[in-house]
Amino acid sequence: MCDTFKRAGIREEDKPRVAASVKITVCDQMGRGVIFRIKRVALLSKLQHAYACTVGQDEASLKFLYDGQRIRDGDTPEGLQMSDDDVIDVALEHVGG
Amino acid sequence: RGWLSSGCIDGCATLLQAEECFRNASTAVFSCFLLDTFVKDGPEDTLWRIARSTHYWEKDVWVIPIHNEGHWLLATVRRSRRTITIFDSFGLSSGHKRFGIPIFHLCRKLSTAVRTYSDFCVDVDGRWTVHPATLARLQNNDYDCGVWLLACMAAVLRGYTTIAMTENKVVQFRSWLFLLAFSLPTT
Repeated sequence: MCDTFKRAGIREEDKPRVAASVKITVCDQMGRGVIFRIKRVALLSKLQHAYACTVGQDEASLKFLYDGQRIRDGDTPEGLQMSDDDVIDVALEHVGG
Repeated sequence: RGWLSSGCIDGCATLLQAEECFRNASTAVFSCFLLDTFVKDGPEDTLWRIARSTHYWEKDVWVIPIHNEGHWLLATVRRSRRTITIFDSFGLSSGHKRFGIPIFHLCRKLSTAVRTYSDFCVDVDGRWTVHPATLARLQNNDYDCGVWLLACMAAVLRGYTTIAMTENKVVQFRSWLFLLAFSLPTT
């Protein structure tokens, strides 16, 4: 990559940089969104905790989905290749017997 | 013997589809949250985000878990036959009467979402029929309906409409699901 920039005559400071953080919207089932900015390497569980505090819900009763798939404990924006303005959907967990 | 959560049902559904004997390219299994979001008047883009990973527009059979006041049911939509089948392990006819129309409207919404957000289309026009998958009471306790739902899902993935399992096999099926989940790597 570095050689590519050198060959193209692009200076170090002009290289495209990946932002250290991303802007993520957490959207509930009615379409109401809460916007967060989070570091790319931070655990999304922090964002989930912050959302639960913001809306006053028990975190355990919420399920967070990215692209229809449940977000797991160790997931980060970087690991899920998230970009600015991506949306995480949140839904209320149900139990049944 | 515990009740199953929506996260547990979705997780087990993923495990079933990964098993070779249940792999079925013509069936889309949706998340438990799909119908719930639709019923709560969730916007089209939310429904699309929840559903798109299934590539449902390529599939003839759509499997939709239903949560009804602490009880799990399963809807199976067969687009080519224009039928909606509702499985209720209690064998009640109220399930298909209550959820037939919302499931049909959800199918129409999914059809619209495909047109809005992709270059594909799904035809759901025409005359549809709704019927129960069984009218026999299969479950006689108050904690196994989630396991019955997963058993019915397994049957649908294998090309059947309903299940022939009896209640004395539920414990074995629950144990098998547990072992399946337990055999997953932890990292």
